[in-house]
Amino acid sequence: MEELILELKNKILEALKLEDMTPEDIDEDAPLFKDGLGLDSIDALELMLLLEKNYGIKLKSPAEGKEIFQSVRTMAGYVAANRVK
Amino acid sequence: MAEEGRKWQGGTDGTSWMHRALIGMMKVVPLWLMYFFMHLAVPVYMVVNHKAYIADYHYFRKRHGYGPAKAFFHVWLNHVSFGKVIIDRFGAYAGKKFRVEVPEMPVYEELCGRPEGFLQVSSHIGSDEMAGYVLKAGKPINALVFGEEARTVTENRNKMLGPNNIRLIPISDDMSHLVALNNALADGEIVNIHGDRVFGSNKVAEVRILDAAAELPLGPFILAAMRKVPAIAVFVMRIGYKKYKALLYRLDNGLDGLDRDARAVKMAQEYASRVDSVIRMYPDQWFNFYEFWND
Repeated sequence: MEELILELKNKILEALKLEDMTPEDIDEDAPLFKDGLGLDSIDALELMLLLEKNYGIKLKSPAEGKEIFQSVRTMAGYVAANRVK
Repeated sequence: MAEEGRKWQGGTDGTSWMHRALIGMMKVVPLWLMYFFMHLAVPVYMVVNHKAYIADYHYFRKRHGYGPAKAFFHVWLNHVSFGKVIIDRFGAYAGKKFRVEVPEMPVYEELCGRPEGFLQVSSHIGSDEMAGYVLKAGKPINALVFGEEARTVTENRNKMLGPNNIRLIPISDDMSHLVALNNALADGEIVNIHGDRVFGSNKVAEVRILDAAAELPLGPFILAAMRKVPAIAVFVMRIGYKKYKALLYRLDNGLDGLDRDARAVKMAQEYASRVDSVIRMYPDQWFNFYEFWND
């Protein structure tokens, strides 16, 4: 799981073009939106595309987005359970 | 960055029972009579809704360069046009029929015939809702709507638009609308978003409309650029009694060789230039009643 968390952090930094940050700057348990990493709705779309392109995951229901994108750790848990590539 | 004060959260005025009463009344009362009563109410509305009146006055004074008297007259005309569009909308809910010309229907049909989905950008200009009654895509259209809209309006929209395969997706805090829009485009469906209101994200495109700086939401255009789908702007203008004309413009021409962010910005600029030309043609059908421009 820790390996996947690191991989996701790197992919998030790349997708969101957070060039002045390193994986260590992201707390895997901190919220991704608002108070934590401070991401917004456009960033959420980027994260959805990231899951689709890299892991073949399309979110099944609109309601699950909030749970999955709570933190890097929740994202990693979802990827581990649902990845098709 | 957009200032909080210039953001707008949508919603039709009035309570649910007022809307139901209006729809019931419109089943028996002709449109022209409703227009007559609306003309009487407009001056009152202009006084009560003073902030909207001032913003609208600035629009005619600063953007169209009208003198004070002409600007005042056009504020009144603009409110009358808005009233007619709203009455027509409720008339449609009550079963009244309207004629909508769509000169570019082949363009629309060609896009609908493709396997991939596309982005349809609408505006608070003319009556975007009329588009839903005439543009039959043959595949689902997912229209993003403000969650604040009154229940009666949403229920009646669903009743009117449901048979045309249109799903209304309310903007929500839990990002479920983003998942729905993303999935819709991934499934080859159509997504309709207003391109003239900043919401959700503070990422904006700096554009010029009527020779002045303004900001448009970048989100809709980034979504299209991200998923590499075509984008069109749709404006449905009221051109007479029970008559509308739909204007359709492709926004995604000349994007080859550009990266994703540049494609999004170029589409936003193309949309801005179409907004510019449409409101020069129909200045009284601009229905963004707040200080839209940066000055």
